[in-house]
Amino acid sequence: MTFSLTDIGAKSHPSVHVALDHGVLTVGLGHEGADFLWTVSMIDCFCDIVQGLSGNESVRVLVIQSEGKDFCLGLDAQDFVLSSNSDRIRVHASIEKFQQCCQRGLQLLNQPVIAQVQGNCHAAGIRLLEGCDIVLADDHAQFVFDAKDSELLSLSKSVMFEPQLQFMSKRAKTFYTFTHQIFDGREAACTGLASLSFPSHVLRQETHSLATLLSEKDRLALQFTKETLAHVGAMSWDASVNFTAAKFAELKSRQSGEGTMRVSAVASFLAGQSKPGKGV
Amino acid sequence: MLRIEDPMTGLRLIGLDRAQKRNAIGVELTMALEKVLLETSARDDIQALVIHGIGGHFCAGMDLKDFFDSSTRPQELLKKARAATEHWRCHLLRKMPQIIFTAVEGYCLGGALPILQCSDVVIAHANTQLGMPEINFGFVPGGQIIKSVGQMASQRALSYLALTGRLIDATSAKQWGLLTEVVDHDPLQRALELAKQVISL
Repeated sequence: MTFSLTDIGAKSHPSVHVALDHGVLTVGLGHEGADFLWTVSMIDCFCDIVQGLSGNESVRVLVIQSEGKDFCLGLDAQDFVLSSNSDRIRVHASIEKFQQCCQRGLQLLNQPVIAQVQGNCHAAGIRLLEGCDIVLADDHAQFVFDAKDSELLSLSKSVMFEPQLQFMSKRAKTFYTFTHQIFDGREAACTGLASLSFPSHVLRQETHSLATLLSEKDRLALQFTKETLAHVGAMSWDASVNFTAAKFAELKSRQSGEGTMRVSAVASFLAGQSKPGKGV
Repeated sequence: MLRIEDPMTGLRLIGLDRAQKRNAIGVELTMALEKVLLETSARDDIQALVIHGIGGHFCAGMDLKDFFDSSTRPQELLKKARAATEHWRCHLLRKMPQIIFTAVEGYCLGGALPILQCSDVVIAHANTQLGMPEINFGFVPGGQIIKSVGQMASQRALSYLALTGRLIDATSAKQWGLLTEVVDHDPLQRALELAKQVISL
């Protein structure tokens, strides 16, 4: 299916490639045979895509991958340092936008987000993974929490840029943050940074198969499951029961085509049927 | 629905006994489970509990036909059954004074997972398949199930299980923190062996 960035209100970028196939939107970053580093304009483009996908029903699943041999080598020093001298505000705004996009934008999308990681994955790449629901890694992918991106942004007096690593086990997070030691895809899967790891020759097929599986599931059920995943962890047991009851009722209503509970309740009130003030 | 055995002093076995439904938790089973857990929690003479499934499967989760839209049960009974379920899986099972050993094999799905989270030791047969298949029916996994799995496994593992509805094998489940040990013989025998060791201390 033909799909262009303008369909979701984003400007095209030579290093950001999109393709929509049966509800699976694949965003490919960088170029084949070239190192992938984030530039300011790429970040802006990527964030616009994520924003544009909110509420887009033709996209059922988002897959993020690199077109090159590495998932992400971090920020493009040349672009960020030079830009910061001439246009510090633009760089600052771009990084802030990227942080928000990873922290909130991707997580709040109705669609599930899958990242496919191969080759090297450095700080800014790891930051991106934090917003993804599922991360499939090459067994031999190389992850490192280097301070390169933070130092770079510190030089340009921009905002700090540390991954929160909320998905990782505490032990692993502390160890790899302090030591900057490189670890592979299998270790990433054991420590919670990745969901699963696969041998190189099956990674792409596994990603495609999983994305297809998700695209065939009930759209609302996926959205409500994501919301449940995001919220119940911090709730008390009783609150999680109430949350689930409300979600089930809303899901049932919307799946039967009755619209949201609010819409039907207001319609009922306007039709003189329900009278909330009287408790009926 | 349940097979309760007290084979020796200090030890109680609770067997989920609804083999024709792969031990799916239906109305009668959930109410029976609440009752026996309530009674057991007050027993000072029982030090260890072993929970297991009868008939080759641990538990296929909640019985959708019995509990949800297609249920033909009276509403009052369904309300009581739901209240009983929330009572034992959100509160009762978490406060049991006994050490809980759970032996799993075959299916261990959805509503069965909070039992694993409340267990001190979980022994699984290598044939065990675990998962949260609710999404495959267009449902949302219950918040209590998600919260339970989130307290055993990483957020990544939890998201994968909840969003994909795929089942995982015992080896992956152990790696993700859902199981203590995987065996290739009867997991109940191993759970009993450990329970007896603890009682003898």
